[in-house]
Amino acid sequence: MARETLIARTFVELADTLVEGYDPLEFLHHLAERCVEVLGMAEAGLVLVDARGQLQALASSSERMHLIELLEVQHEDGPCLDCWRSGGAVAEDHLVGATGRWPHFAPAAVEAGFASAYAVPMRLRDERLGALNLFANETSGLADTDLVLAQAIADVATIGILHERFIARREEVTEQLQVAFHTRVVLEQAKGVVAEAAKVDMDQAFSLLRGYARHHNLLLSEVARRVIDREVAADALVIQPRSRSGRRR
Amino acid sequence: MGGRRLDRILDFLGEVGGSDTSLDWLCGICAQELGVSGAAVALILSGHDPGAIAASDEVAAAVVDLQFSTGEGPAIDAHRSRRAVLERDLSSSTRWPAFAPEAVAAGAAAVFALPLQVGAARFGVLILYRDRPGPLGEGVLTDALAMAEVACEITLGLQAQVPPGSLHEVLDRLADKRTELYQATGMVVVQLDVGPEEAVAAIRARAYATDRPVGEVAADVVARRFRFDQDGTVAPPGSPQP
Repeated sequence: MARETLIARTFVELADTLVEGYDPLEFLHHLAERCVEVLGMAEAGLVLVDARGQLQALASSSERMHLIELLEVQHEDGPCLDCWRSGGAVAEDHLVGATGRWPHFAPAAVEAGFASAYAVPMRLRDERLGALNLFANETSGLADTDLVLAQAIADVATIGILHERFIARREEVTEQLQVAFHTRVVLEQAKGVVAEAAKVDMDQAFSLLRGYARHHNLLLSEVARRVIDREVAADALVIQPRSRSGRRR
Repeated sequence: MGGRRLDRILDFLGEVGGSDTSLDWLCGICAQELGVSGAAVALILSGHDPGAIAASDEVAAAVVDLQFSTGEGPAIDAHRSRRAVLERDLSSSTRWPAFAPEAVAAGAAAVFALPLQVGAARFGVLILYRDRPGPLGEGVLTDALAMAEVACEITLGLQAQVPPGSLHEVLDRLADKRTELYQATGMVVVQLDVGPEEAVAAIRARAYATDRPVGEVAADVVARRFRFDQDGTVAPPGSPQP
């Protein structure tokens, strides 16, 4: 496949993440593999910050790559860490001479067979997601123009990930809104049921519901739901305390 | 309204986005920028009826309330179909025989409803109305959809401020306003031995038949000034209880 075709296809695939129902982790692995192909790198990997603000080596094109990234994250030195901290691209054309720059990472990467390493940030304005790592077996493995291409791939992926997170979060809040509202509605309806069935006022109805919930160790919202669904007869709420005192006698 | 102007509005709403009055701001901006007379944001939650949580004016609020009391209208249709419902001339429309004449009488000649939805979830509608008939202006639908997105954003932004299980104050107010109806529903469930949805329908039918607001009928039920008989006929206040 011509390189241009491969690049175009990669961007189309990345844009597809904007469609619902994709698996984020599978997407990241796919992205890493595509970077290897398109940019002619030995390996690619993605390090993303998690909900607690910790960097995680989430997807790598190989196990060799994954181990080096783990080491980066663990020892907090390496191109990806620098990239994450600075928010800008990092390039090292000669890893052999980079021990001063990255005391833990450089020797380990050379040992694993890598000769150059690069990282581009995954960020949108102030929001920093992580970094895309690219390692080559030869020195100067990534041309400057390809570093620009790598950044473009990282940018599209970033937007895809942010979009997915954004939708997921909003769906979650919508669900919370619906549940909270429904809970309120059902509680008021249950008060009405009890008030009518037991010929009491709304405050007394609420007390009966709460008393039943405590006695049966149930959530008030659950009792209300059962009353409305006729799983618990409204009378049972009134009879309950009497039968208890009856047993005690 | 053009991309840059919309961007500025979005930026502005982003700044005031987290506050209790953001939705009121949004409704006001819709009225100014979209070539309509007014706007309202209505919640419609899991089978429950539309209720305004913000409105630019009383007519906009009435357009929501009338859909609540008649049980039909563009907001309900937009919510159900997940699509924009555009009615350029309510007076000649036969879509909503109960809602349309009352909306016209309240001052709305054209009504446009845009669903508030996120992925698979939906929770309400942005309603626009105009006091003269006619379609939304050219290109305005795109801007209106963008405003619906912002309304979505602000509403969920408010709800995201409170812990799961509770309702943000702005949204809680709507539940407060409906408290008597929910309680009356529970009472009618027992009186008519029906489910909650049928009980609400009975209350609504009574309101419609007697030309009174649903809230008033509900208040009568809760105060035991009125009850629904087992056979669905109406017992006047003071008559012997079954």
